[in-house]
Amino acid sequence: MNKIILALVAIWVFSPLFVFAVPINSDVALTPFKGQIIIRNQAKYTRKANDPTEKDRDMQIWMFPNTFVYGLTEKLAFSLTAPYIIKEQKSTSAGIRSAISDSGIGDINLMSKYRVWSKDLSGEARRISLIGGLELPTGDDKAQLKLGSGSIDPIVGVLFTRQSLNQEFDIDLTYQFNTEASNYEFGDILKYNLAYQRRVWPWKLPEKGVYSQLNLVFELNGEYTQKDKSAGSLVKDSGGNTLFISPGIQWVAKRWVLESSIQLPLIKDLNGNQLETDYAIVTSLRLTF
Amino acid sequence: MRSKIYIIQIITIALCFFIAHNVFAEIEKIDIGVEGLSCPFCVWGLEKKLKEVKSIDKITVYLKQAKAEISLKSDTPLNIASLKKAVKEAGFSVGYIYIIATGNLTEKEDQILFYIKGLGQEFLVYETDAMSKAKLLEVVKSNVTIRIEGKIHEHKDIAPSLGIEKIELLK
Repeated sequence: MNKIILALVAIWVFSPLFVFAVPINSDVALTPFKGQIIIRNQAKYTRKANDPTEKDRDMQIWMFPNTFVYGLTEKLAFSLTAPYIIKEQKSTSAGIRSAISDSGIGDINLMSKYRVWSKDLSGEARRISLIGGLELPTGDDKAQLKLGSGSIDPIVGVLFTRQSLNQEFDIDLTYQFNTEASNYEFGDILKYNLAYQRRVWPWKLPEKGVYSQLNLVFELNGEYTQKDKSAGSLVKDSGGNTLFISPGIQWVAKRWVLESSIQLPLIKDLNGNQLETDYAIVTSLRLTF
Repeated sequence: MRSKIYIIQIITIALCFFIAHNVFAEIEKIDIGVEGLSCPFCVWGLEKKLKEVKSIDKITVYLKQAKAEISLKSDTPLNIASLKKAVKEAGFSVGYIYIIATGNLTEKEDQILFYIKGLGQEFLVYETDAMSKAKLLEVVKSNVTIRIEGKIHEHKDIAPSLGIEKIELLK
């Protein structure tokens, strides 16, 4: 079953229709127009390995987050992200290699974005936005391979975007305050992202009309996590800092965006014995209505 | 005989339509400079919001020039506020509004006005580098229909103003 899913994901990711893609892993300060609906379907495959213990664990995670965005005004937008997660972990015990897996809905994110500052120039937009929201405990936190945190976790963040006809530059910082559930508290998460996109086709813009364009994307995606707490005590094999370099490619049309990227770890500074991310591949399609 | 009557009726209707179209097609074109418009994905929103303005007939967006070229329906005046509202709700700002229109220059209470007869709409005309007040007054005195190109600006409680950059005397 998992092989079929993997094959489907691979076909989607590597299909010529979807170009070898590279998606955007950062957020942008741009907000949708009043009444705009954006739907984003993502597929993300993550492989974790390098277990320093004798169990030699490795894990594969498929995530399919579906996001619905609505622009209440041109400054204020709301979004809902519901991920479907499939996890599979292999480990060795008494010389025997075995696998466990879990799948289901993960934690749903309800977010709002408010544009607090903007500067419009001819062919250029500069924006600063604030985000705030909650991660809801819809994922199964009792599963062997947890699909959710079990807690309601507030998220806040600040975003900056400078977009011109040729290129785009984004910075975002978000902080997730994880709370306790079932006597366990995941560590707070600070995400820090830097993204740069450059239009590579058409290199020279046509004088008239609106064109589709191909962008190359370069991102640095960082995630610093505090140690988890179990019954009030710090869990030594938790928390740390990971920084990914994420090259990508993006096709932008008037009604849709198709994008894909691969995330490769630059810095893996994790506490204790933890699985490290080898790589992640993301593909996403955004449609606007 | 009957076929001749049909032909005459068709010609009469076509003439009426032609005359009506020319009477009301007095604002030929409007260019809106849209500041902040910087990607193809953003254009969709702008087009959608401008289409909601009832008086707009046709919209063409030029991304490189960051402008939307629009033409109005034949019997509707230019409502600057509604254009600005549409651009704002799309998430952008209006940089300028440039029109090409046909009408007459008149003088009222020491103020030069550009009057579009078919629409009953007038603009306060101000002096520009391209068009001095003396030159404008010459046109007023000649009392001919003119075709103008220029930038317009909105004001509270008074008619919008127009900075004429080109004038063509028609008749």
